[in-house]
Amino acid sequence: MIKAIRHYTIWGGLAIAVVITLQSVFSYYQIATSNQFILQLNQGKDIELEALKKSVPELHLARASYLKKKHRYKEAQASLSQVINQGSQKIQAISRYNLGNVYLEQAIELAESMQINEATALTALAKQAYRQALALDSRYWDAKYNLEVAMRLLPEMDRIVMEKDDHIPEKKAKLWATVPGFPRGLP
Amino acid sequence: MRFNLILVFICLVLSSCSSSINEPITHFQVQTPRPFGYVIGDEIKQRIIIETRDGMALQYSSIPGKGEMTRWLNLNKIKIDKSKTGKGLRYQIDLTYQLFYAPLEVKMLEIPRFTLQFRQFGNSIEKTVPRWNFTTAPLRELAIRKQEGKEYMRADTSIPLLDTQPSINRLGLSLLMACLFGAYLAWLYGVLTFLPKYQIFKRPARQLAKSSQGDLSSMLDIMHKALNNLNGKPLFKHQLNSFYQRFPNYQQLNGELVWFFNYSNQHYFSTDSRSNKAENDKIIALCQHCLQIERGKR
Repeated sequence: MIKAIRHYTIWGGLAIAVVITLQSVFSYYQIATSNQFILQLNQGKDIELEALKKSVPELHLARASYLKKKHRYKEAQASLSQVINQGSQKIQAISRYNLGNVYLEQAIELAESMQINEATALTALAKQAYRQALALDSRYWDAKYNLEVAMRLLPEMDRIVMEKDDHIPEKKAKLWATVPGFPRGLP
Repeated sequence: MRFNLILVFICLVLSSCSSSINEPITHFQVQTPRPFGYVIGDEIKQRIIIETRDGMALQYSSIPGKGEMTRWLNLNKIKIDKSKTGKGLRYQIDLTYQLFYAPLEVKMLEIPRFTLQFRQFGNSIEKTVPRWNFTTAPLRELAIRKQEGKEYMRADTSIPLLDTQPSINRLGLSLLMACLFGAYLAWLYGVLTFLPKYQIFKRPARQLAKSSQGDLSSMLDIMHKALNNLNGKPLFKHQLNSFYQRFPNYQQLNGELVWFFNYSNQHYFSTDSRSNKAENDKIIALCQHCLQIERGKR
C-alpha cells in the first residue's frame, strides 16, 4: 500500500513539475515579448493597442513616455492613470514621477503661450504627483529636482494666521504720563 | 534646638528620596539627526526615548497624527515601541518626517514642538518635545533658461526591462525536477532498455496477455524464463526461500509462486494435465503482480 502511494506520488510530482515547466515557459515568453515592446517604444516606434491589454505596468509606462515625446499628453495621462497603483513600489514611484512630468511639460508649454490659468492647474497637479513619488521613494533625485522646478513656477505661501497669543497688545496709556496737547498760555 | 535640626535634616533626606522614587518620568531624550544639509523631499527621523515609572500610560492621541503637519512638512511614519524595564516602562517613539520646502537660498526651518501626555490613576502628566531647527538648501540655481542649453527639468525615468532571470530559474528547476521524476519512472517501467534489471516482466506480461488459452506450455515457459532471468539462474520450487532472501519484495507472492510451480510440475510431469481459462488467468495475474513489484507499485 505504501509502495503504491509512493509510486503514484512520483507520478503526481512529475505532473506538477510538467505544469510548472509549462507555466514558466509561458511566463518567460510573455516577459520576452513585453521587453521587445518596451525596446520598440524606447526607439520611438508605437505598438499595437492590442498588446497593451492585460500587459504589465512597465509597458504602459513605456508607451506613456513615447506619447509624451510625441506631445500626445492626454493619451499619456490616460495610459499612466491606468497603472498608477500597479507594480512594485519603485514602478509606482516612476509612474507618478512620469505623470508629474507630463503635467509639468504641458504646464510650461501653456505658460509660454500665456494660458496662465490652465498652466497653474497643471503645475499644481504636477506638484502633487512629484510629492506622491517622493513619499514612495524619498531618494528619487529627479523627482526632487522637478518638484523644485514646479515650486518655482507656482510658489506656495503660508497663510498668515493671527494666533491668539500673537495679537498686538494694546498699549495702556499711562495716566498723565505726558501732557496731552501743547501747553497753552505761554507768552 | 539640636533636635529640630536633626528633624529638618531627616525630613530633607526623606523628601529627596521620595521625589526620586516617585518621579513620573525618569528619563527623557530626543535624538535628532544632523541639523543641516536637507533638500526638498528628504526624510528626517526623530527618536524620542522616555522612561517612566510603572503604570504610566502614554496617551497615543497626544502624538501627532500621520499626514500633513504644515504646508511643507509631512509626518509619514510613526512607530511606537513599549517595553518593560526594571523600574518601569520604556517608550521609544520613532517619527519620520518628510520635507517639501523649496527654498530660494539656505533657510532655517523648524519641526514644531508637541506635548506628550501620560496618565496614571486619573492624573495627567505632560512632557513637551521641543521644536527642532535645521537648515535646508535649494537644488538648483534661481533661474535656468532653456535657451542657454541647460535642462529646465529632468526627463522621464526610462522604463527598466523586465527581469527574465526568475522565470529562467523557475523553468530550469521545474525542468530538472520533471526530468528526474521522468527518468525514475522510465527506469521503473523499463523504458530505459540499457538497464536490463527493470524490464524482466514487461515483455513476458505482454506475451502472456497475447497468448491463447490452449498455449499452456508456452505460457509456463515464458513465466519460468522470466523468473529464471530475475534469479540469474534456473529457479525451482525448493529454492524459493533463498530467492526471497535475495528478492524480499516477491515474498508477498509466495502463495501464487508455490501454486505456479505446483501447476507447472503437474503439467510437465503428470499425465492428467489439462488447461483451463481460470488457471491461465492466474499465470497472467502472477506475471502482472511481478511486473507491479518490479515497478514499485506493490
